[in-house]
Amino acid sequence: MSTYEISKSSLLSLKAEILRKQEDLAKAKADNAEKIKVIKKKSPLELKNKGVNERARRDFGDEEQDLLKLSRSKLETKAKLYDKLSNRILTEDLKRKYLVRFDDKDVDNKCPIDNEEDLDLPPDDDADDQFSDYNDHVDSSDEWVEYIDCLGRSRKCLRKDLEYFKSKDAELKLVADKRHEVESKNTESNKEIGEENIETTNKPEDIQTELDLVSADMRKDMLRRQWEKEEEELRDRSDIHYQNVLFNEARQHGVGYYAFSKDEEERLVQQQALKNLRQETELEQNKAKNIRLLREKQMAARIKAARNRTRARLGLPPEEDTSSDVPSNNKPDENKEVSEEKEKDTDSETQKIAEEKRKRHVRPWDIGKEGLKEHYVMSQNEWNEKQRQERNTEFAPPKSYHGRHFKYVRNIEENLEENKSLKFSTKKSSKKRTKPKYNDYKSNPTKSDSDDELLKDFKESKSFSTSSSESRLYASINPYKRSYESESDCQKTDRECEGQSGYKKVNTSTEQPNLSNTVEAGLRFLRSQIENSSSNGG
Amino acid sequence: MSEAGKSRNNIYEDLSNVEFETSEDVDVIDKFSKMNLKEELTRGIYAYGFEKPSAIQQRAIKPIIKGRDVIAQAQSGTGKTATFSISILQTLDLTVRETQVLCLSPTRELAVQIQKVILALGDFMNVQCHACIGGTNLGEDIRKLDYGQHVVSGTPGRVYDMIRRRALRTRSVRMLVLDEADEMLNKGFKEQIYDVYRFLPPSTQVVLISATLPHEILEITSKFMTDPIRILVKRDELTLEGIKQFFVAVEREEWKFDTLCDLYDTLTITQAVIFCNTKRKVDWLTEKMRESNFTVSCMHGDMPQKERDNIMKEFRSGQSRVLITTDVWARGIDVQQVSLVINYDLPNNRELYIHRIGRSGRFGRKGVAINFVKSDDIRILRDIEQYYSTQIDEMPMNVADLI
Repeated sequence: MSTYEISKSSLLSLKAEILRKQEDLAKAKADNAEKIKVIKKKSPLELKNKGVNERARRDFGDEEQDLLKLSRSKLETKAKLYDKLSNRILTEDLKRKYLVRFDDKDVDNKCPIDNEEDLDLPPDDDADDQFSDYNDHVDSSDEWVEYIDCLGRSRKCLRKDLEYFKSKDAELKLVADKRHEVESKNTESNKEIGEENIETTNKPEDIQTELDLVSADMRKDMLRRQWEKEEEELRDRSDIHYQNVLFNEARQHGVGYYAFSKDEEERLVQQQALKNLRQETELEQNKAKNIRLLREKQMAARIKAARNRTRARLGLPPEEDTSSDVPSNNKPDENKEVSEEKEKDTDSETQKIAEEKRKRHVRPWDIGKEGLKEHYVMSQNEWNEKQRQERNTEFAPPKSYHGRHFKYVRNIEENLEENKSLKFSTKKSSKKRTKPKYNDYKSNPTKSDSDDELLKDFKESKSFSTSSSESRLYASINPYKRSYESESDCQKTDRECEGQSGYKKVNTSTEQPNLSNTVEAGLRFLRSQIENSSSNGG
Repeated sequence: MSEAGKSRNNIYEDLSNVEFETSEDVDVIDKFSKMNLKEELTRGIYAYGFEKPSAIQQRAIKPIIKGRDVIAQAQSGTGKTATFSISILQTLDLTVRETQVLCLSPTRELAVQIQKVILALGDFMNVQCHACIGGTNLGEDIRKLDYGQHVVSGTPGRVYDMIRRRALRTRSVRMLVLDEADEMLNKGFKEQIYDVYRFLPPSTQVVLISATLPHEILEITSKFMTDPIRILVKRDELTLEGIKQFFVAVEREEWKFDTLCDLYDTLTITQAVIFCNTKRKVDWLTEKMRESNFTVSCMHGDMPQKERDNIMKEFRSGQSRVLITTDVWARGIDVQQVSLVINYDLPNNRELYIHRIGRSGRFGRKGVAINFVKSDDIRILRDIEQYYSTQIDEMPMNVADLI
């Protein structure tokens, strides 16, 4: 390796160069410090997801721009109308119509503030002058007075101007009164509507904007009168349509909406015209379709001819018709259709049966109506019920019997329900306390007729009794006894149980043989079972 | 004895444990053009603004047209009225100018609205539909019926009156529609419905429609319907996503008024309905709002019919924007621009809550419901929230943005 010899001067100049560069850098740093910082800060903020701007533009687009445009155009028409009204010399009629005194406004416009002194109008008449006046007197509050104008608004003015405002007010009142008078007259003769109609036909937009300009209350009033009139017209018409009952409803309709005329004849003409248009369209469509088909056919023929020509050139016979392909394609479809049809057949058969059933069904609310089908197949229960209703009450079982019997059944059901779910919360409260043990091993939640239920109960409890727990058997029946002690069947069970368990029963009363027959049978069965088992055990 | 009889009936046909479910054989038709409707009717449907049938329309129209008894339930503002209106119009024989369909609803305004919908959908068919409601001139009613109407939409009292006077002949009636069926079969109306039903030919087709169909109502339908097709909605699917529900907790009743005043600017963005529980409270609140220089209109059942009509027209035309009312307005009334409902008082039952908030958010539009709750009412609101598995949050500051 060779070493370089470095001269001192070159070292120095190198050092100087470094210093200069460092200085430059420091200077540049000082200059750009802010710039750099800003850029650094900006970058994360400016980072945006792709397409955000586009989406924002899209969101803002259409609807809102449309709305803005709409409101702008509305405002423009309003401004135009206002200009027109303020430029026009108003007739008496129009004067009556608007509460704004456009002619006065006009004067205001014509006298710009700088040359107001040149005009020799009375100082009171100039609004600006009044205001300057008012500014002078701001402090002297005793100069101010309040008054109520003819429209019921409370207003404030300087005492010295009161006279002037009063006269203005009187003028206004005169105009308003006149206008009111005319309107009330018009409602009788419908003259006003006629006038308005003429105007509407001339410039419908203007009327709409005019409607917008009047106060809300007035607008409501006008509409109410209009609706009243429309209803009056409807009163004697035999045919009414949607347009007749629409009453200015603000509802968005579909694209195909057509507001037919309220006049019956015109309506028919319009409908006829629509129909004609439709038929024309259909005709045209059909024509176009036919032409297209024809063209396709021609094209196919031409292609075929061309192909045959090439085949002929190659010495081949002309192409056969391709129609043979068609049936082979169709075959599987047909099979499918057949199977579908079969399904449909079975389907429709079940439907037919259901339909037949529905036809035969008689609704409870229909019973007794004229023209009711005579052949009606009642269910056993319905028949029983009917017979019971027709039965002479003297031949009916005593009422007390009924009540008790069914209370009994209900009681069983309630117990079942208690076990089943929490749904029947209202029934629970009192009974749960009286018979907790019953619940403990009551296991069968199905519902059935009363007697079956009883038997089942006994059978179930039997299994317990065979395992030498007759006292529990008693306990299972006990709740019935306690709550319905007079019930004969319960007592019977009790007595049977007494024989087995040696339990002392206090209450004994007369038996009712009717119901107990079946119960007795059950009990006899039970007893024999127990006896058998005990004898077996011994 | 009667008790015994009752319990006996319970044993024989106890339906209280039966769970009613949507019938299995319900087809779904997803286009109006596939429904084989009359050409003029299809035109009327598109003209009215429907483009694609809603869920209930896809399912219920066909069985009704086929003549089956139908029980149809669907969320508020999803086109139930149009469902039966379309079916009615399809089955009508327009060459016969006699009453072929009878449609009953609980309020006069609703009956008029149904008339309007039927006329609108049947505009190209030139259908005749009459609103037969109380509070109107009897002679005029009789005359209108005398002209011959294809469809009569009315309230039970006046309709029954007209039938008894033989102004409304029922021998050609083929279909009975009960709109808001659960209300119609409730204690107050059931007797009247029975009275009307007794005059109809036996086995008249019956169609029940409502957003809410409690179990006890479904139980009694077997009395006057034959093997009905059921299209039901589970109650946890009954509230609409589009209607946001909020509550404002107030400590005292007086603060409700102040809250309402604060909200007024929000109310007038589009249109709003404020519900109170009594007519007197409606009057009181209206008076108080007007005293504070707020523009409101009000409506309840004690007003003369003429005035009720005018209020309705003003509200429908957008002339009035805030309506204070009772539950007479809770069911069925359809004003597209209503986007805010305020329950100044909480409703008396869960069903009414669904119907009230359903006045906003019509046919896919957005809606907001705000409940004013005193501290002891919050429990009730939470119960409602849980019952329908929905969400009722505290009202945010930017509620106006949601409308």
